[in-house]
Amino acid sequence: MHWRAEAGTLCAGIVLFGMTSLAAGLRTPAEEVAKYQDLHGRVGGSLVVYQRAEPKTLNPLFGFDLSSREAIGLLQADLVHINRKTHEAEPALASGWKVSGGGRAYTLRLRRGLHFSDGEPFTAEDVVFSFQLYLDEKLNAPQRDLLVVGGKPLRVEVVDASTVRVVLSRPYAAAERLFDSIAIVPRHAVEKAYREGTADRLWPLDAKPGSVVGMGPYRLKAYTPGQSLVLERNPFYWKVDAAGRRLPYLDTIEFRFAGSEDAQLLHFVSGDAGMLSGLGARNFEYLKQEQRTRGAQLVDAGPGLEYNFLFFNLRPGAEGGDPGFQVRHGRFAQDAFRQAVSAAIDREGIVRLVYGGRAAAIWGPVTPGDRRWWDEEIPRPARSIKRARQLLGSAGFHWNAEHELLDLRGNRVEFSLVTSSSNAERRRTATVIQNDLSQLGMKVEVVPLEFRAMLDRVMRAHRFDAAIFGLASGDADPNADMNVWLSSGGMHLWNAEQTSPATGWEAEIDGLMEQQMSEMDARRRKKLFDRAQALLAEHMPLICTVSPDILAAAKAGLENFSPAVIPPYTLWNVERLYWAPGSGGAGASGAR
Amino acid sequence: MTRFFARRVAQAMLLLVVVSAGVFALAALAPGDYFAELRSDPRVDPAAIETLRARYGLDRPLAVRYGVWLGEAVRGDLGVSLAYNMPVTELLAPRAGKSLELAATAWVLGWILSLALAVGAAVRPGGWMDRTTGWLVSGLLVLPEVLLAPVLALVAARTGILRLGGFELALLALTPGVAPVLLRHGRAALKEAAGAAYVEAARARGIAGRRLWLVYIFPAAANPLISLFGMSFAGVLSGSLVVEAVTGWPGMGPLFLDSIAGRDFYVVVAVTLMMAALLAAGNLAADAMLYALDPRLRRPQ
Repeated sequence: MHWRAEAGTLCAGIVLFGMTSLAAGLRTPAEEVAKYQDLHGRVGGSLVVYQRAEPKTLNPLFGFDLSSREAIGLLQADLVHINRKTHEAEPALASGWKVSGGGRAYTLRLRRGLHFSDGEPFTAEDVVFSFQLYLDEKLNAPQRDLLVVGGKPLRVEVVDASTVRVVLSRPYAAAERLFDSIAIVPRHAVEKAYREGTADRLWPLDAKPGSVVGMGPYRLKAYTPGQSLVLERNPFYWKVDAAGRRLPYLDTIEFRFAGSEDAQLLHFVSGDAGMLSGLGARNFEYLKQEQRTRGAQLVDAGPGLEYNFLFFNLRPGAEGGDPGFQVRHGRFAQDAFRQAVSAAIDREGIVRLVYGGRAAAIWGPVTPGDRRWWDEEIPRPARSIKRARQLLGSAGFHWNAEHELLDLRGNRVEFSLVTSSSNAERRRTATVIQNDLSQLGMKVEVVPLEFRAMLDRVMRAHRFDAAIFGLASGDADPNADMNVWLSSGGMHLWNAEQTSPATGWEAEIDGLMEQQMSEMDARRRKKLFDRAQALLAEHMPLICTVSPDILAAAKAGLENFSPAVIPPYTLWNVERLYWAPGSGGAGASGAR
Repeated sequence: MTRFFARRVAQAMLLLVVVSAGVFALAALAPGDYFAELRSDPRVDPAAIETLRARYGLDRPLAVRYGVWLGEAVRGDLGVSLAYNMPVTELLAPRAGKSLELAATAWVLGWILSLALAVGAAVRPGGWMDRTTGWLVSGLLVLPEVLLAPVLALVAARTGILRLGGFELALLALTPGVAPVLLRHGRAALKEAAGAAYVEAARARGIAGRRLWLVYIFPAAANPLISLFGMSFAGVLSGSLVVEAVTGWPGMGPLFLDSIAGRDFYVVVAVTLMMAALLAAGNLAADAMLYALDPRLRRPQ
């Protein structure tokens, strides 16, 4: 009896094993991994990265700040990813895509047999569910606006278990770039919170490690409040190297929180930090001189996508109809006035004096770092006080005996220039501009304001004459900046949210930007955008000054360290990073 | 006695309400809010930002917001951090523990060092110890923590003697800021008591050494020191916030400064209120000690 029972159990076990294997074989196709043929690294070790501020959340829907985005970027993956070096869209969770319907439909083929970091399978349902979250008006994730094209949200539907189709209300050029950084979240782990209306509170920093699930190269290991966030290798990550070894190479990434750029620098000098990103020019030069960091990799990746500019308040009726502002506004609205200001600004001087040579002078919002959209034809006249005086003279401005600039009515030309007090470079730029414009007889009062107070004053209250600002898009494609270019856009800083374009050239730019957005031919699209750039450079609503270089550092021995100009600047290729044998990198002793 | 303490507790509660209203108003009236930074991202629609503001009640009148917050604060809920999207109490608890650990150590160390040096100075007025402590007080008083902490951090980074972000570095940066005020008051109080006529009389009667100090001098010098004792801890804790932010000690300091810059409204209000509560509690404890030690306070008014 006893023997028969055991034999029965054994048979049942074999049958069960066979059925499970068969079912698994049917359910789980072979893992369709991404293979880097050029990659021959070394597994092991850890990397300590000091962030300026602590991340606030691990929830990809509500991670607004840079630190959170940096951490979330390692925990999650997207369907299509923009290569930060080539600026091209590349397959990620989607192994490929096909555009049809004249640019209205994108059919994405998903990699088969992949798993989330908790071992659960990745399916087309997860993709549809993720977009449902991002597009939910009640949740109101900040990414929602990106996914609304032509006033209508994207429609995402399942074609089969490994194919999804994304339908747009109108043709949209390079729509595949929209999928970059849109994390695909696991339905099985998030749906309950979503149904209960608590998806916005999902995955706080102190979440249990196993509960934060994603498809990124790392998963959460531990969090110590105010101290560190430790991520460990995701054993289910879907990329392998040339030898077929699963990436990433580094066992752990430890984020620690420094509080300021200077503190980050001290941690690097002391040897605590393995990598440093977002360095200012002054600290970069300090590291070059510092004996203790001799041998470290100091990289100047060249100008990034950030463009700094001066702009005047061209909003009629701003400042509550203050008569003084109306007089000033009359001057600001003249093209010749803005062109004269541009001609008088010593951009090369700003590059030299403020950025120690680690920036590029620019005359338009597209920086030399944005290789594909940079227009060589945009005029880049050298600084000329003579030309500035001619422009002002032709517009009826004149000078009194004290060389002060007066307008047609004989009023002294003076205005205030608002800038962020927490940004040392912009503060110094304001001083250089103040000095440059004094040579034209203009009186400029520099008003440094705390960053958020400045944003509130400029973008909500519109109470300012002129401001110095900087913008950096997360993508090199012009579509990412539509809010800046379109006269109806909330970021059309000089005169935002216009009901109809205030000027002919703004109407023309609107038309060009709308056209390029739907133009599927890359060459024709570039031509349209070049024309928009030329109009902006001619009418100077933004008087662009400089684009700072992206500066970063890493300990000697950190292989494949290659800072890019699109954020995240240094961890964009985290799965490829590894410590060279015998290197003194943080945790390198653990390498094997 | 009950009336004495009931009055003190009522005063402390009133102080907390006034402080909370003041901080709430100041924090709310500061231009810009937590979501302002999103305005500098070209990809985010301003309408989405307004919806987020409304979700967290930032579009409601200040009085309404304060009323709602006060009602919940009484029940122990100090609001939700806009940045971390989690209850402020949960966010602060682990960091407050770290801050208290640092501040309490610096406070105890500061008192021990100060009292020891003050006694040394009072034993022989005009002697080398008295003169040295006088110079030390002056030197330390003009040395702000905000200067000392970065210098120590720089030395630590370059020499590797102390670990950046470590407890020892933070303690070394904080304690010199704590000691001079205590030393100055302690030295003055003990010197005054040691030179009093009744102490001279006691000495004339042959009383000296430990008995003279414990029975005659310390009790007379106790009153100003006890008052200082009550207030000093809150002072040390507020000083520690700056030191923590500079040296990287993971207490409330970095979070508090980050919250001020980021307009994380309820965190700013909660930390400030916590400081005020500690000040009130310290004063209450000092009152209790004075009540126990000073018979004049126990006399009916």
